[in-house]
Amino acid sequence: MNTRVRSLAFVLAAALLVGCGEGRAIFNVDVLSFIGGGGNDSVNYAVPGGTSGTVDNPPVKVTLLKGLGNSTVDSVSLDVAARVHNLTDSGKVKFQIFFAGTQAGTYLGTPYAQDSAVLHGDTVATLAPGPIPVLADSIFGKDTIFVGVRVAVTSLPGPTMTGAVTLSRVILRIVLQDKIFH
Amino acid sequence: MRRTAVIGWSLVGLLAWTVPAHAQLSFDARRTGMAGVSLSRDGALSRYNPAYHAVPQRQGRSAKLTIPIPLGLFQVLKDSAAFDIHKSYFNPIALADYILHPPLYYEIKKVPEPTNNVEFTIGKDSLVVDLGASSQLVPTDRFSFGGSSRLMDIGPTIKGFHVGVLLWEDHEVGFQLGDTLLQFLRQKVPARTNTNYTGIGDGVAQGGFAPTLAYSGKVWGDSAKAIYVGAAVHYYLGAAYGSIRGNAGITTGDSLFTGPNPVTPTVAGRVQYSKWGNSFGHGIGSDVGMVYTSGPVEVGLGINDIGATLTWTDTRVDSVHFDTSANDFASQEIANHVTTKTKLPVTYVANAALDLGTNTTVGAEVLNNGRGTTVQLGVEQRVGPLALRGGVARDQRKRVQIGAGTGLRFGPFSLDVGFLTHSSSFSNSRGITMATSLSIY
Repeated sequence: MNTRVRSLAFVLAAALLVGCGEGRAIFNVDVLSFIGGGGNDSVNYAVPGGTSGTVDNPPVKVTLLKGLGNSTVDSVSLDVAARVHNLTDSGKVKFQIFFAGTQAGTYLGTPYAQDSAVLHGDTVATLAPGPIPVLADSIFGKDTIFVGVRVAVTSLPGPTMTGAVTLSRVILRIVLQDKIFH
Repeated sequence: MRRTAVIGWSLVGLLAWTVPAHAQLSFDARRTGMAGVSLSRDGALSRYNPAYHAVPQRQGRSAKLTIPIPLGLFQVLKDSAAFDIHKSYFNPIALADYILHPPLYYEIKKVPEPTNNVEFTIGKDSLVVDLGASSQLVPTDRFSFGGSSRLMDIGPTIKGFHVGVLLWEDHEVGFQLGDTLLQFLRQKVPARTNTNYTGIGDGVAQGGFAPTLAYSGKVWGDSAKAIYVGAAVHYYLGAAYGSIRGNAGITTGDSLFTGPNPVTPTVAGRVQYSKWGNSFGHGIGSDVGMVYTSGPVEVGLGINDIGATLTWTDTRVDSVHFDTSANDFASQEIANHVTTKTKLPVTYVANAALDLGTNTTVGAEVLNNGRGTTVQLGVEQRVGPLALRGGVARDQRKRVQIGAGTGLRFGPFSLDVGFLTHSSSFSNSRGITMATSLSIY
């Protein structure tokens, strides 16, 4: 991984060499493309009626660019959307997305975005908080970050509430004051 | 500390100021005002045409000493914050521009430096780079710079015969981006998997000394009309040299950011060098030149370093590559103590000057130093103690530059100022330099 990232950084550093200055380096990261595949973009839930529970997917590592770790994050915005397919029973489904600098710490903080919907029976809904400005957070200046998706379900009394939440869009827009020459 | 660094960079820039820069910018503001033309038979004329060593200086034109007034250094010190690599507004392009155009003189119009945003769109298998306006800085053709210098020539001259030793150096660095890398950086073409993104580069540096036997003198004519010739033979002894040629870049794998196949650095080069202490390189080169003067008319032609090929008998040749397992560069000896050859570029200068008899003198100069041709035309009008100057030039980038200037003579001194546009930068826009100098006659 180090070799790969460093190599790409070689090309991108060349790009920055001709393009930096007082300008910003803007990264539009399609996080979903890193998460997707192997079912990582989906979280299945099965919560007995009248109870509540949460399901976390395993944190996924997202590679940014090595060498930008010293950069100052100017601003970050998050554009996220998910599709909920509830199969049985009714209740409230909330999905949350987390980012962290370490795998262990992925779910320890507060979610960066969340949205919820109340669903009845076999229905499909879209959860889309929309573009969310995120306070400049130093973790987005790191070479790699971890992303996690948590689904919290509160089911109404009755049979087990089942379904799945599938991410449909996770795009991070990170604006850095580049400092690749540290 | 910062000022020390800036001064250091300035000195590096001045050291790098060899042939490419002198074609446009001189230590003499009088030349700058005439777009580089010399009417005083110095500069490029005496450097590249040995016959000019015998031509008498023009009455009242040739200064005994010209001292540049380096206002540009103050400007650099003022802007030194821009060179703090720890600041977000550090701009390597601005720094590189200072090397291409040493900041000796004040820039009344600075070359604009790119400050636009750079945008990267990154996905697991996608990468697009948008450099914005800066993409125009990515060179589409071979980009190179270099020069040859004769740093010192020590020895006596008796009746036109000169025996001496000159110190010389020659250097050149160049690179050219491959098509895929060029499209990626310039045209926002998405990066592809299993693709080479490389460029080719080369560089050479050599230096040494050369025992020299030269002659220059008037072979025909009198004070009104004369032909001067000059010739020199140099036995070049190379103290050391090094050259590299190869390609470098990356080869993408099955996935750009994930997957089992990493992106592989691709570096394949051939390094040749003969270190200080090895046997000297040796070769013979010669200079020839002639000047014809007839009253107000003067024409000259000089050629330098004819046949200057150096043979190095104790060269080591290595191949260099990037070892992906060790994640570091590695080299392997191909051959040692072998013979290799290097060349010094042939340089020629052709010039003409005409004194119109109304205190007006016009001059023209064509200089090719093996790395491109410059053409310069200049005129000087004297009105009492005042001199008005103008000129036009085509530089090595084949771009037209305009010069203008003036000077005031008071006794044995003159204070001169010259303005000249230039394209000595990464930008396609021109800058304007204001050269200032004091001459003592």
